Amino acid sequence: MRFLLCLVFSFSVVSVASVLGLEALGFEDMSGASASLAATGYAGNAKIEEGVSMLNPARLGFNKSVSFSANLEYQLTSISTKKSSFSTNSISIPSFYLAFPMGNLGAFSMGLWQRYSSILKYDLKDSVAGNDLKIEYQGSIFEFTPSYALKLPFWYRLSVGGTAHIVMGNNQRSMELGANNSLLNESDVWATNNASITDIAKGSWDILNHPAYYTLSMQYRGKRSNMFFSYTNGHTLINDLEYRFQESELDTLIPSKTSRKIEVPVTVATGISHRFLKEHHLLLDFMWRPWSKSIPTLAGGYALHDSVKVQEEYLLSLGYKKEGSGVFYESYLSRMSYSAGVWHKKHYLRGVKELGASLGLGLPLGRRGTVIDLAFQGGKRSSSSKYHASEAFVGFKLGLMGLSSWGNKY
Amino acid sequence: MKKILFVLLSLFLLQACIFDSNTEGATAYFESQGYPLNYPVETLEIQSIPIQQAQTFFKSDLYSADFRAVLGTSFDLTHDLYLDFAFRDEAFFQQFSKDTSAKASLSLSLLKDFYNATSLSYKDSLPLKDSMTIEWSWVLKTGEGKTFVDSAGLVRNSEWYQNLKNWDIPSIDSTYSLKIKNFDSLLVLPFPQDLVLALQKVKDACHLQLKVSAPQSSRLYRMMGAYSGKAPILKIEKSDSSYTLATPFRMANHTFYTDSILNPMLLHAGGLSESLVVELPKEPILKALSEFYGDEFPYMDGDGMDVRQMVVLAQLSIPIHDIQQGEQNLGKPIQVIAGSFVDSLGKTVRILEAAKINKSLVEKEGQQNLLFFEKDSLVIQLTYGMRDFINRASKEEAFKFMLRLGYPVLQPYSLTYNDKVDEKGDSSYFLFPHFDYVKYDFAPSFEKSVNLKLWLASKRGERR
Repeated sequence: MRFLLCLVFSFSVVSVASVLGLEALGFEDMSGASASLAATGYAGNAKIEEGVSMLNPARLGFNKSVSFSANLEYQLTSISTKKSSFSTNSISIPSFYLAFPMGNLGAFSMGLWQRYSSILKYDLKDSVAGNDLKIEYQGSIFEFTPSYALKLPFWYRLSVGGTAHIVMGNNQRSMELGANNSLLNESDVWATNNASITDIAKGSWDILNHPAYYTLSMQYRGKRSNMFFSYTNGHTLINDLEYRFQESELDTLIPSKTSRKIEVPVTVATGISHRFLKEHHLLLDFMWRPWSKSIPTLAGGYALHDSVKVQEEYLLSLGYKKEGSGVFYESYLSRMSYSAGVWHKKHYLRGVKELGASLGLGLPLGRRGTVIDLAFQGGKRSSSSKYHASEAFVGFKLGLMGLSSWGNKY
Repeated sequence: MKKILFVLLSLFLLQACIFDSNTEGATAYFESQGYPLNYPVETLEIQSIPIQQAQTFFKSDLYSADFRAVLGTSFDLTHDLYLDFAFRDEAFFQQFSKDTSAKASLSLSLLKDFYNATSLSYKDSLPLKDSMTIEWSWVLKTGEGKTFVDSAGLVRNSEWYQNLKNWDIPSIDSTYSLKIKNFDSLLVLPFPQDLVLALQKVKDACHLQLKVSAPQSSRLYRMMGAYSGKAPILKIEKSDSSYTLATPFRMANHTFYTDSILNPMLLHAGGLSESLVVELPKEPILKALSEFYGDEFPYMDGDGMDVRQMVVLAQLSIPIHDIQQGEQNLGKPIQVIAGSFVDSLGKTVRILEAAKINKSLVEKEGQQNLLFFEKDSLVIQLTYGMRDFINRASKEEAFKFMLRLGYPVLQPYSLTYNDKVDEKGDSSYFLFPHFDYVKYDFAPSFEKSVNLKLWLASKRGERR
């Protein structure tokens, strides 16, 4: 567990994802999604299968095996505004989970999910003053997510479950800037030799007056169709920050401390899955989060804004999945699963929406049900706001789902 | 599996073609979003700031003279010398105690490096004639055996210095006529008879703490210390010319003001624990900043810590008139060292300021932080202090800084501000490695006002 945590954090610090929301919360990893879910366009939270769903903890109640899931994401992003374009790439482990079904006692899971990330590092060139400058964001909101679900003893088709989202993480913006002497007399320029200044804001994440926020859901399991409904309470994120404006690490200036409060609204989600022709599944999910209060910016200053405007966020996703055969002596291709999906998302940043599609494969390993999921994704995040860039992206998500019958009678 | 790897590799190759990363594009993006590409620097000159308070602090503690020692006076300072001897010579002292014509002396080696320095003109004044009255006082303990001798060394230096501050032993004066023809020669000072008689009570071993003072001297004599390689020599001699020798195992100097009425703005050079702490009122500084930026100063929002701007460099100009304000011996400019009082984890600590060199100005007019350099102003840099002051101006009553006098400067037009080796391989020194015991009165300077110049970087920017 400790090793995995280290792995997650070490991968996270080298990733360079999207530039969306750098001064707000960062870029959101959708739904804490596993590669399997990503392969169906983020639809499929209602489908009964091993693993953990962040939007639908109740599904856990139908798990039969102890499962472990770790996911790795690689994404290439092309960022463009009217005047410029550049590209960046990222690699991260956005989530991993452990689930322990306990028979009639329900099921328990633990997970770690990189909910938002604002990670970027760029060395730029100031052609006007001739200086090098460095801009760096290092921020992640992680959620430690213990979940519990139970099939109702009097009605085994219905499961209820809940997740506590314990928020943790840090964020930092650092800008190392060189001097612009254009406003100085020639005789005064000497004073700025080798005087690069670093503007630093760094902080930590927490929830106001509470250790966590919660998701409650219920799942119905039918013969062919399943559905879920979940509710996540609104909460206030606290970002305790300190600002420094320093020439060197040896400066003893006292940082200015402040907190920004970000009001995260409730989240409502629902989804349905329908099985047809034995192994084929049609999946439809919807998530809605009505943001209303602007988000204060991380550090602002200069010509940056003090706050970022928001909009109602939703994710509508439609997916298809063909399950592989569970008979181990059949051909490998028939044991593989195949997925496809599309999604449309309005981000929390006003004017930003996303349209994406994915194709996926499930590659079984061995006879115990261990699977490597691979999801190829591509899409576009378009911005109608001058405050945000548009982004085109392609990438893949790789997930390892390990299964075991450890500790239960199945 | 191979097919999947092939697809992945193809994807990587595809991205290399489609996703072209370029610095110009990223720079343009960040600039369009309002990110700064640099910080504009502006200067702010605040003229005629009156001095709120100035006070000299002098700590008259003893300090080591193990390598270099001084004896005599320099202007209004007196420098006493202490020597600590511990030795045994049982065979000698058995005869010595009965000798009615016994004698003893202390031989001191002059600090040859100083007196023969090519950059000074002392050699021209030889022979140096002086009548010097020495005040001798001592504490003599006698004992036996090696253990007794070793026990003297068990007292730590710091403890010894502390004990010497309470020295109230009556002294005996002896006057000597000195005629120094060569700085290589020894300064031999015969002991007064009372001290010889005291030494005659030694049977085996003795621990002699000797104070040598010359408060009436008009000069300052510079000597070699106990660890210098030419340590002072205590020579105890019988009438038959047989003798025993001892050298001190440590030495200390004690410097103190001769005048009983203290000038609160007087500063001396000499490596002494002396500094002049100056306070500037905060109002004119904050008012000027407020007018410059159009914002409230001091910053009172939240915790009141101001990080809206950054002091890139701060320079304070103090009016001086060397001839009226100072006296010196060596004729070289004297370096002024500035320090500031800054926060360190909630405590105020004093740090020395680092000076940034204005190359063209130093080449043309010389270093700016010098006294006795025929300038009408002393310019010091107080960047760390001013950064800290503006940062926590809401908590501070005044801007406080410190001045201290340093070494004589040999190359005031040098940029290196350090020692160097030239192309021929010769050493070239910026500072003379011996102090000039300068006296400088800053009171006339502080009756006038000072000028402050700030180079400022700001986070303020035009909103888009």
